[in-house]
Amino acid sequence: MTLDELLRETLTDERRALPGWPDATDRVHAGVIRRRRRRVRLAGAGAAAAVALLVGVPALLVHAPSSALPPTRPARPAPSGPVVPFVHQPGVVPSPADALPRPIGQPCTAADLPPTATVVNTDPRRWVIALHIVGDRTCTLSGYPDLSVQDTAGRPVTMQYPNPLLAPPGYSPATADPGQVIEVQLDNLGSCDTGFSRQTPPLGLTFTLLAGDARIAVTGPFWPAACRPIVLSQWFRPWPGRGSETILADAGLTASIAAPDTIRAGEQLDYVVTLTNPGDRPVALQPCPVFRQEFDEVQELLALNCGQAPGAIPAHGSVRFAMVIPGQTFLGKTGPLDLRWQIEEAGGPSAGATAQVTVTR
Amino acid sequence: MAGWQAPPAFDEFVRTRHADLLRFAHVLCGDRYLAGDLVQDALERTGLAWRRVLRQDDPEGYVRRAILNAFLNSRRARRREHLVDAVPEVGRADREPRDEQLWQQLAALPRQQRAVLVLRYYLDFSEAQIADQLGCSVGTVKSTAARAMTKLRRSLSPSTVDGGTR
Repeated sequence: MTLDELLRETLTDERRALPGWPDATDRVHAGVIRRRRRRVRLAGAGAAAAVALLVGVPALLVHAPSSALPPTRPARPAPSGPVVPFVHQPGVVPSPADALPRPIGQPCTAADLPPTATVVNTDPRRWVIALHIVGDRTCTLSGYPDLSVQDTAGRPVTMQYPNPLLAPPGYSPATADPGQVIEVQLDNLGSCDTGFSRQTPPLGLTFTLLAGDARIAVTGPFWPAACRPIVLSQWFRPWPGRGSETILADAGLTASIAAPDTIRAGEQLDYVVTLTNPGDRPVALQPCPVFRQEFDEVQELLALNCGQAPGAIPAHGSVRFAMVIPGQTFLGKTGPLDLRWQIEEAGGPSAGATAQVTVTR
Repeated sequence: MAGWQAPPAFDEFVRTRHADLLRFAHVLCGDRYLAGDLVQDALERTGLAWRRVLRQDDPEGYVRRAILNAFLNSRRARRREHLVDAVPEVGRADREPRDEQLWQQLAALPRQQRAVLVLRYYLDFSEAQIADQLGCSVGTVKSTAARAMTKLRRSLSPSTVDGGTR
């Protein structure tokens, strides 16, 4: 018998079963009530301590010389702006293999594609437009997209595209799973064959990508001089380390944690993580970043709540995310414990922060 | 303080599932008394958070995780875990010797290693599921399992186990 078989046999042996409790519900009820009483007592003690502090400390301050004041912790910056609520959704660290060439699947249709797509970079000579597969199946976009451009009067603007010399930084045809990204690149390398000039206001143009029966409006920061001709790449899946899916890795995001100093054992730990983009370009939160949160020895790998977050972190801006660690994860531990938060990417951990939270009985 | 009214669904859950949870805790910690403590503790916490637990749609998974975390973290478990030359059950006639030898060697493993083996061979969890339960990477699960298997293989007599394991 192999060790595998022996282990399975030993652990699942019926003789390891323990007799059930005849008074199971009663003993659990009694335990729950005991715990609730303990909580109330602790809360009462905490309230008494707070009252003592409120009454005692100001009195002390009035009478004490300023040089005798105890050192105080620096105040945390006041939170500002909305906080993206926490959702407990397990995450999977993206694998570089996700972007390998894949067989051609069913053509993507309007049901698979979003109604709008975003320019995920602001290179003055190049746009990268990312579409996230919103359907529930794997599909493929092949060849070149059609691009419809209209001026403010709704007149079509003729663009010179595609340009076969424009090699996309990825695999074509582009086969992607639900939630994954297919991209197209627009460059301003060709010559203009239209009547509009370099002074044409960029916001006066409407860009629409046509993919099969889907019409996808393009939004985002446009070129300052939109009169320049446009050349298109084929649809592509970005190579590992390239394209909008990995912009996160290169963005140099920073993270900071705002957490309570103290928490009672068994209580849920609520804290806030602020992701800051120090760069000059927005950082797309797609695919949805995966993070690891650790409190002492316990780790969880979860996905950010991208469903309720903005699609990107603006240049020099921040987005705040509420985080939760259930009390069950640090049962029995007291004292100062390390809280760590870290984005995990295919290439390894990136933006992260740590804090210390003291767990008391 | 107002008394606590147990939700009927929680009572039903305790009545029907506590025996299986006891068994899981027993194979996890190897000590029937500690197993009882772990299950009692986990069920009490679950009772306090029952609404939230129900929202997660897997109350048994929640309790199992609570048992696992308490087992991995609690000092009480560490105090109670003491190895002896012979386990009390070894004298029972219906026990196969190789089972007892393995049971004893399992009790001697570090708790993390034992937990990985129990999740793998008792609950039939995949490596990814184990990683999720323990909050670690799949690579950590693999290396922990490999270390545990090596240790068991070394400590078990050759007649007990064949060489051809994974």
